Amino acid sequence: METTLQEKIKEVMQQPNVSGVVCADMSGLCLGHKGDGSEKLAGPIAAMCEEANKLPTSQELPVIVVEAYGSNTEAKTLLIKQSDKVCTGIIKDV
Amino acid sequence: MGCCESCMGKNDDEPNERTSLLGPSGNAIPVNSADPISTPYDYDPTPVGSIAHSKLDEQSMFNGIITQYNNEIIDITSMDTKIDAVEYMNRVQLYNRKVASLTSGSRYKQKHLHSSGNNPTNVLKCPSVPVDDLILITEVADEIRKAMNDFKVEKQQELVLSLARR
Repeated sequence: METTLQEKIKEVMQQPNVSGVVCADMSGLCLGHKGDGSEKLAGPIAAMCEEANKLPTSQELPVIVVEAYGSNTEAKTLLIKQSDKVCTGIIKDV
Repeated sequence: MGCCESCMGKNDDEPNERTSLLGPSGNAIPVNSADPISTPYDYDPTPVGSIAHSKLDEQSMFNGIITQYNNEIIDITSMDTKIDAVEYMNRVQLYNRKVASLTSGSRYKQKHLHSSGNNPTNVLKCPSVPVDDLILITEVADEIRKAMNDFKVEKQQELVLSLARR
């Protein structure tokens, strides 16, 4: 029953500049990951979604962007968004 | 076949299963002579197993506990420890210096988040998140949410079984 999810993750990985994908539920359980998206990111992205939802924004759930610039690593961007009870994180090369 | 220690002439001074708990006179005796709580009291004509007798036992125990704590308690409110204002300020400065010397170590220094400092315009001039990325993450999150609908518990057999009658 996870084949559909795995296929979706593979499709996302084929997008340009996408280096990793992580999916988690609101409890921090990793539902799927690929590439640079480690399963250890499941907990933190779920926690960030929970905190971001407390912001007094519009009705739509906010998108969280984490930008990382390191001297030893390339610049990367982590995009996180919650949809219903699933948190999705996409790692892109800047 | 083994031996019975009670028949081996043990020291009668040590308490055993035949030792009377009440003593020969019917009064309660302390099991541990070093126990300060239990104190012997005068012979009481009331029956041993009566409610009044047990209440007197409790009362004597409570009195012993109160006496013990009265001897051990140190009442700091009655202490006469007034200090001058000058001495008080000196102590405040001394303690602050000691605290500062302890917390100035390197392990107490925490990394701070990057701040804009006095130039917030530099932060505001940074390029914002591309709209394409926002659309991408929104669509992907929606598609994955739909893919999660395939996750379900498949029914293999009845969860509630009926026990066969004998």
